[in-house]
Amino acid sequence: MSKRNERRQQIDRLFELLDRFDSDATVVTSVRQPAAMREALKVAVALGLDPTLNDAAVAALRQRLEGFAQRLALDAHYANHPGVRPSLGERALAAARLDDDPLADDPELVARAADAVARLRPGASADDVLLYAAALAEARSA
Amino acid sequence: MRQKRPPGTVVLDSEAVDALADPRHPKHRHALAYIEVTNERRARNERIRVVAPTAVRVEARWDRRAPTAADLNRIAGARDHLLDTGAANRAAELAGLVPGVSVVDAAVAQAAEVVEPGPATILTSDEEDFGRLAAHLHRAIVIARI
Repeated sequence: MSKRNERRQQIDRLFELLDRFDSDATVVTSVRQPAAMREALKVAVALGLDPTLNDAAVAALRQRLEGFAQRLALDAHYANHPGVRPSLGERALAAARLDDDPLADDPELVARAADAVARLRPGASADDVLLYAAALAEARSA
Repeated sequence: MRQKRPPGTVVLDSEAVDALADPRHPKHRHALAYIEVTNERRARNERIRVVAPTAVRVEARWDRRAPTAADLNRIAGARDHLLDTGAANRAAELAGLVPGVSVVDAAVAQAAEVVEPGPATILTSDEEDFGRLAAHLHRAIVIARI
């Protein structure tokens, strides 16, 4: 089997398993972790983070796994459909609209910020752009 | 002055689902930009979810079991928001309060009112109807246009 097919099968398997999270049996496992982390979790649970230590650990791992799997799915989608990957500027404008950020009303400024941030920091996020754009807006109004 | 309110939950309306489902849809790339933002934030361990009210899934013909839905299931990363008895009662109430809104719009507004973590942003192309519904919700929502 080619490495590409093997990877595709692994991704399929990952999504199959994620789909079973809410219905599957649970297993007891041990995780080596910093002692301070365990204590911090206890304190955070007492402060209301989650009902139990177990809930907190499972929720964090679940979020990480689902985000990772979604990233793989999005990258596979872009490989199959070249041209649909949103640019950094488009992502930044989407972030502004999601947040009801006043920057959403100034798409030209967001686009300019995206160009600058892309040059300064390869792999920048939409929120990096919004921070830069907010600074530009602040400087403009000063 | 308007304050930014990053959402804890993004609620998909039917138009957003339609756009995400079809790579040839004129707004596909635009809808993906929103999904990318949620993925970036998840990767930074920020608590953010995407939900699809079950009424939206019906309207958009999104059957999660269908092989054609495999891509959408994976890229949207959306969990279902169920229309149970309590949710149906509230959606019916909202539909009665705002003449002319669809059943699905009322179900989406109901979801935005209760989803956790809050606050909620609705991803839609129908700003007008959701603007009218928002006035009757128990908490403030953001409406993002695709």
